[in-house]
Amino acid sequence: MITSNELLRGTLRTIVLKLLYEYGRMYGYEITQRVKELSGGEIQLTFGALYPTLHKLEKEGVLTTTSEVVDHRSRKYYELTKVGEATASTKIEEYFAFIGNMDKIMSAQSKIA
Amino acid sequence: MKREQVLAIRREVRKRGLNFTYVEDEAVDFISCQIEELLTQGHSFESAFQEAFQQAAEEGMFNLKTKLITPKSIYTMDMLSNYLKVAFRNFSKYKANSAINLLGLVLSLTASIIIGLYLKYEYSFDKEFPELDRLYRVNSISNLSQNTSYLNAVSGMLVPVIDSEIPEVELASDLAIIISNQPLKTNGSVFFDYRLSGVSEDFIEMFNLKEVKGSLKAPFQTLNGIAISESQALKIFGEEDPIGQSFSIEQNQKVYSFLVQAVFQDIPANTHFMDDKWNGFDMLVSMETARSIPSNQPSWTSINSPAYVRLAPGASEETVNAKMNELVVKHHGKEIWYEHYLQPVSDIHLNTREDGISSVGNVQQLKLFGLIGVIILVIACINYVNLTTAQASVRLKEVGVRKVIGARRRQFVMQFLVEAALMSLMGLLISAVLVSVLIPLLNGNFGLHLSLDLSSDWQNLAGFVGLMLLVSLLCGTYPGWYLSRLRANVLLRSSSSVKSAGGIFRKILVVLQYATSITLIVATLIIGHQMNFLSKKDLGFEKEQVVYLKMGWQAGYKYGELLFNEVSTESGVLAASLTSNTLGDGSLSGNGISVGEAEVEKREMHQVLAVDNGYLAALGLELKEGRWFSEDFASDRKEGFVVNEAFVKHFNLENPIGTKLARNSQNGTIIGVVKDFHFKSMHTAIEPLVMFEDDRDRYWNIALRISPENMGNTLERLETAWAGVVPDFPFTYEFLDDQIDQYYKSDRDFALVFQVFAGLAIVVSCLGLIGLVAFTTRRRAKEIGVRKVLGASVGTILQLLSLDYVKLILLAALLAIPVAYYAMSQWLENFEYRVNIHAGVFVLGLLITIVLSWISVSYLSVKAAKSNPVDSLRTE
Repeated sequence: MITSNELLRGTLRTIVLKLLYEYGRMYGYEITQRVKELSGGEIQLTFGALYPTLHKLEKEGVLTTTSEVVDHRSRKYYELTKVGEATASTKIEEYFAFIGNMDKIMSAQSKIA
Repeated sequence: MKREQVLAIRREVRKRGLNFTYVEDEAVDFISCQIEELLTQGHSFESAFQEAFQQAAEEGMFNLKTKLITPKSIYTMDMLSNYLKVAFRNFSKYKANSAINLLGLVLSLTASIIIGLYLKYEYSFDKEFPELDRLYRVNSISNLSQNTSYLNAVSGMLVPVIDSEIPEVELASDLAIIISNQPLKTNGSVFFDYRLSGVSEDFIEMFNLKEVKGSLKAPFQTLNGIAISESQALKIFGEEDPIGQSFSIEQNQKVYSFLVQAVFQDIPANTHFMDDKWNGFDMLVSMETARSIPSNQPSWTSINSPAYVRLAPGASEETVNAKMNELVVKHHGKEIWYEHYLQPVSDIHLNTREDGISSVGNVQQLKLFGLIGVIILVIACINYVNLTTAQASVRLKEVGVRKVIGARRRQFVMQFLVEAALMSLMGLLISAVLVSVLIPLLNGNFGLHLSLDLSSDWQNLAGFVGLMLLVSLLCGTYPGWYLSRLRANVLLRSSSSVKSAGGIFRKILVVLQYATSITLIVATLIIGHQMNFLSKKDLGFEKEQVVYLKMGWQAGYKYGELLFNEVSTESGVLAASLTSNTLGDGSLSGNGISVGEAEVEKREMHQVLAVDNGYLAALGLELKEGRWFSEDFASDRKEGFVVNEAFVKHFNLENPIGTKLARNSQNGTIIGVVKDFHFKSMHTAIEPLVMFEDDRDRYWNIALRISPENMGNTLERLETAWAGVVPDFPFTYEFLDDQIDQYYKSDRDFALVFQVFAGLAIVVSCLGLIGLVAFTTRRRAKEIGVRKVLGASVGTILQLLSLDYVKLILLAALLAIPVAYYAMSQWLENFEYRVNIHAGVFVLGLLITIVLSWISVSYLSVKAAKSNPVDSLRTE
């Protein structure tokens, strides 16, 4: 894993929200795979990191779940609620604003150096 | 993937600790997806399985458990709040049932808490002394009379000897009563009612006496220095500082004066010292001071005061026993008629070791009380279980829906436990209030010292919490377990097709409940009979209108004859006699008696009573043969004896009159035989008795038969007469019938307790029945409706409804009768004179039960029987 854990932790919620905002209904493994694919293998989410985040979001009412039986096992799909959609778009906007600001700070420092 | 493969994955996930529902499913899916991907890359299932789990472990999947503790407890809290919500909803929805449950719980919890406090109090006796496991009282077994007798006293010679010659004895002291209740004078006031005892300094340490003022060491260094209890100090000196004050006591025409050097804290009520007035002490002097009072010179042949020892750690009781007995014989110089043994101080009150010495506490009775407490509690829990499972037939839908949503078995049990806990908590709080109201009443009426102190007494608090948990478990487990066992599809199919929940089990419970109620009712009836019998039985003398003037032997010695001459001529006094013990004392003195020409060595101990010429008339005894003592025969006082029938029978005397009899050093003949009379309580058989006339200055009571008219005036005149003759002792008198009543006080208390508990048990059982009938009538409403449409009368319906529980009660009676019969026969064994148990009592007990049950459910049954069938059948 190339991206550091510290940075990832702060953005995990945003990543999940963004994916669900884009693709609608997803299950846990699918999310990890999609992240891996989109980041070109750079970011690999683990079950241990992802599940608590999903669970927390569900508790907060951002996500809602449905279960289906697939190949002899039950699979839980996650989906944004109405509230969740609003949260997701805010989070995404906030992210871009933040990155923009970070970029300014980082580039400014490099000039001095 | 195949089903088996998924199952294998699931097993592995569980094995690794991710076994809570939602995570488990997710993890299984997650790993399955990984494996599927590996399978598509050409791995075999086994290697894919290995690799996936290894990777998952590396990524920390199985550490998730600890991370999830917070969300999990939130989840538990959620469920708990849901349970509480449902519990409250059910309470308010089924008000009648809940009220019955609560009332039953409150009644039985109150009873059990009080019993618990009482048991705790009884078991708390003598438990506060330091080094309790090494603290003993020295008792004696006397072989003087034909029956071995046990005494809690030793010779005054013993303590110094064992203290110096037995190394295992660490501390030792007598508790020798030196003076009691003689006029104590200080600053012009006179006091009575105290006990002055001689002890060694060890006593203070053994019983941890705490000084309040002065120094407890001082009286052991000063002759005639004295330590007094706080309450005596307050009584004698009031608010003044007692230290340095002095008082004088007159005994046998001699005046002793004491200097107060210390005040000690009163001994607590829960010690054997307070059990019996002869065990207690409230003034202490050193043994040196005690020995300086002439009547207290010790000898090996008189055993008259208690002694206590503390053994060294690890010393054996048996060794010390043996050494003591050897030393007694060695110092006495020859064999002696008694033996010593140690009794643990902690066991004196209850005497669980059955050490021969009779005890004030009664372990058997305590065990019985404990049993009753448990039974009442169980009855209430049975009620709860019954009502809850009965009610569950109405709640089956709730259970069904919960099941379909995925509630686990554990959760059902949990839910019902929460409900039961809530109920028992409410019950307990109400009971606590009730108990604290009842405690002052109980303490006042039964001379107890109970307290319900929850804040500072951790044992009480622990008991409370324990009781709540126990009741919750007893009440909640079965309904939860039972309901969760039912299948969801059965539960939800249709309410009419569901059978009554737990029918047989519930019936068994009701039968058990009624069996205990009937047992208790029958027991109460038999106890009532026996108590009635005791108060009605002819005692052989007339106990009414007999007053004893209690002089005590000091006053009797000085003024007895004078006082007797004075009071016997008072108007209102029908007959009078000087005498020794009263017939209400419960015990008489024993003397060595022989009949005919038997040698002195062959004497037997028999009970004796010193009487005077007027005694026969005063007590209303009946002569059987010969004559009573008379002034006309001057020799009677020296040589006359009157015996009872039991004495004649014991010695097989064919012609008792004129037979020679010897009592101690007195020789004479039998001049008369009286009919047997109960000179002791009816717990014991009438034993042989010898009556004799003593020197006129050696009696300590005067028995008077007074006229029933103007008794108040007569007593006043007696008091005036007493005050004229006996200036220095207070006027003390007692009615014989009151004294005799005291014999049976504990029996009466016992009877009362039984009545209360039997009442409680039947009330709680009837409450349960009301709940059950309410449920059956609701459930059978349609059946009743159909029957009525087809022409059944109200009467037939009532019969139908009653038959249900009458059958159960009859079955319960079958169980109860042998139990009650056996238990009560045992109890009656306590009385030498007793009633027979006859069948009528059982019939009566059964009738009472049936009638009470019928009354309690009549309203419900009649309402159901009279209901309009239209209402119940409309929905069909």
